[in-house]
Amino acid sequence: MAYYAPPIARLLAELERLPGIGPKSAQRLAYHILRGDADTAGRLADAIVEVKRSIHFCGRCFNFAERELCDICDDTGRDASAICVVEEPRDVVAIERTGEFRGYYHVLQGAISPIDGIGPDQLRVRELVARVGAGGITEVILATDPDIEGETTALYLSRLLKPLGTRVTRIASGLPVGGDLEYADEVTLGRALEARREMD
Amino acid sequence: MWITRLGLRDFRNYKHRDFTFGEGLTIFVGANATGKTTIAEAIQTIATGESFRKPKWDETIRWGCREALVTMEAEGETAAVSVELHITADGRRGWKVDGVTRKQTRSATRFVPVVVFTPDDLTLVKGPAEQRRSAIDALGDQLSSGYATLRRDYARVVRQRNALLRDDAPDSHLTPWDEHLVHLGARLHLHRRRLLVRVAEAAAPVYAHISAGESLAIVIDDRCGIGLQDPTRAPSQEELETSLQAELRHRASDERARRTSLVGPHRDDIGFTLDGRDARTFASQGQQRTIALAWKWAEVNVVAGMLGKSPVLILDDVMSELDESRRRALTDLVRREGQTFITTTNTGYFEPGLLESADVVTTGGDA
Repeated sequence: MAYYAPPIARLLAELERLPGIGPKSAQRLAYHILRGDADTAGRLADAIVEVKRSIHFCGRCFNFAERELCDICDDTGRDASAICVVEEPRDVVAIERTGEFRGYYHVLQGAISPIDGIGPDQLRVRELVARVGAGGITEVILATDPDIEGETTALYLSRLLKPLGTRVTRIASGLPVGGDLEYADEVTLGRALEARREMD
Repeated sequence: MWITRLGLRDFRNYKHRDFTFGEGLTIFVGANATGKTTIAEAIQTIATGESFRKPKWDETIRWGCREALVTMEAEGETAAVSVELHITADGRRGWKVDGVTRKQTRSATRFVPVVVFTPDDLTLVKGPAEQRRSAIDALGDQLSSGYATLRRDYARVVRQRNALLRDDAPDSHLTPWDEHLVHLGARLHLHRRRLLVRVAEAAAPVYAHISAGESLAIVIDDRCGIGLQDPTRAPSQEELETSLQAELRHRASDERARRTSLVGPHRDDIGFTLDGRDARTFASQGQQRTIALAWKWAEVNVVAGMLGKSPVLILDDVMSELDESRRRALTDLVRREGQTFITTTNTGYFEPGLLESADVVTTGGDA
């Protein structure tokens, strides 16, 4: 039995695919859009299409970027001797918010997790080694999540990068164990950055 | 704390039933398949988040219903708490404490410690090693959230490492997992040892009492390369890490050939000796059951000693599995301080004195 006209049903189905959106939230959003004027709906649709059209991965750090390089890689005023390695683009935002770090980033786009079929080759590891190998980097800060997979990724990278002669550090805990970086508040994350330690 | 009320809505075969409990002993009497074990399960589930039946949670919803609800009210000397557990058709569980949603099961289940004794526990001595490991680990989980986290993290490392071994991944991919396995494995093994010492100390006098003087000891048969059977002889974290590393190197080709992790506390076993002889091979059926009984008794004492509150004891249909002398011993345990729930098909197993002091509830009324 069809409760909804087909276009509404299609919108509901698409909305329900989004994370955190169940049938009830989808219905609320859909009715909100329907009640609003056509311009508002058009702006939302355009923004969605535009973000997919214009955003790709930065050619250097693999953060999201609108141009060839992301805004951070494009900023020549930063400290070129330090790279902070994170799992996801959202982690870059979390660390930028602390204001404690002035170097550049490298986004791995995940963490090592063999049960999910993700090994070093599925991540941006080769590109990181190339960046460090090119010279001029004196410190690599490993800021992967403090869970089992993040810690393993950090261990793996430190084995790989140390022979290249750079200093490899790991952000200190102080982060809630088992937590994701994106949920950490600025103070905790800032303190953890300050207290980073050498990896052995 | 003790449980004053239990409510079941569409939980297994119960459509709607509320119970009020006293501080002492409650006995549920009924024929088979009248829902006695379901009550025992509901009490354990609402209090600890675990069920000895190990169900998929959506299986616990009454047939044809969308949601099951279990509620509990508990009271202590200074505080009272009410806990709600909603189980939905997708197998998800939602907790509320005093009406406020709790995201983590752990934060909703730390009020009433529980020790459960079912007929399955009677095979503790001869059953698979997994049964003995989970007996000690379930106790550890309940005593400390640190133990629970460590165990979960370690289990995850083993799963990840096994995935690599299955895929014949290069050594360089295995190395970081080895480091985790060594570090977390050593910690888990040491925590288990410490906990086993407590259980052994509490179980030995109980066993001696029931058996008229035989001496029970608990030993560890480790797969961590340390070879110290006596749990009281604890190595240091460093020693254990060193031996785990050596054992990993030693068994590397075996692990490659069998494509699974063979070294570490997930393979440890726990053994029992009676007057120095291995109970698995030498003990009679009766002696093995006495060991299981002494272990449960020890759990009650360890929980009471470490948490400073007597746990709720649930005995699901075990009376019928024990002979006269062991039943008497179990009755002594029931007489201790603390709330107890017993399910049985027959009140003839109980001394008249015990029955008089108990609330007897007949099951099968509303199901």
